[in-house]
Amino acid sequence: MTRIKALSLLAAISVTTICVSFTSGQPGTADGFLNYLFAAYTITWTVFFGYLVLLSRKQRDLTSEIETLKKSFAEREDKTGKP
Amino acid sequence: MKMNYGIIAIATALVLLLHYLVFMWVPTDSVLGTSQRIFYYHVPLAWVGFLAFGTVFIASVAFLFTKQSRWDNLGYSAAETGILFISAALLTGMIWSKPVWGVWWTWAPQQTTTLILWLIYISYLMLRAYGPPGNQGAKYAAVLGIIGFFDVPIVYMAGKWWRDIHPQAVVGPLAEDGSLESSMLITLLVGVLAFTALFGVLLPYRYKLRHQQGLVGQLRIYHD
Repeated sequence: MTRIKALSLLAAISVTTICVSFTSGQPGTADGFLNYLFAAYTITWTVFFGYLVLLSRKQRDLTSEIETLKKSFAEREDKTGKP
Repeated sequence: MKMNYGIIAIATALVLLLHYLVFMWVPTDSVLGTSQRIFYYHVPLAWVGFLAFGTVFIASVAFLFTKQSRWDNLGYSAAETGILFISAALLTGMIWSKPVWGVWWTWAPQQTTTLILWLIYISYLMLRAYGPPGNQGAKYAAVLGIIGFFDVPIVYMAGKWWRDIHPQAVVGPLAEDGSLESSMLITLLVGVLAFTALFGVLLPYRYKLRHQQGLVGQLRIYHD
């Protein structure tokens, strides 16, 4: 759920930035071109931060799965007396 | 998971330097105007994407010869990271196209061949996700990783083979002397270094994560 929220936030920021960029300023003027530049840079960093959010989420899931497996192995060891 | 803070510091410093150069130092292009500054992101992103797919190629060849899972993990991680960079390169290219040529997409040979490259490596990841499990899936993916890489030189040469509105190469063997003003060239090279350093941060992180996923998968099988 956290991942969906984080990605939604990133997507919202990107879409807002793009909309603001393309609606303010007239394309063809220096100002309009600056908006395209801003949109390109924002999208690039949104892509990278989005990927980092996905990776950190995967890492968290993995850590939690390792903990579950550790507990399960320990319980099994206690029952059988074998490692 | 331990991170290499040295490379993170280098990447951060280079990214900050790149932004200083792009916004404070390099002159505005007299023909393309401010939008030309997208070029300092677009070209390095594409270059790092090619580097990533080159890594997939080497890792795939090594995997087919050695059958060691570390090469497969490296290939997978590089493919995923490469898609990230090529996606950003395609998006920045589209945003550049609009103010310069008036359209988002021109089907220019370099754009089209880059899109094909992107689709090849998307197929690579889909093959890993939905293809045969274990070594067989890894083998198929390695073959695709090798074949897919042959599109990289085609993307680079496309501008020369099928001349069109896309700008010609400004760095590398196809670049003409003086095709780029020295301050623009320096900024571009800092961009290449910055995004290469970022790749140097992301690839080991993804590789370690992939390696751990494999170990946990084996533990799960043993547990069940």
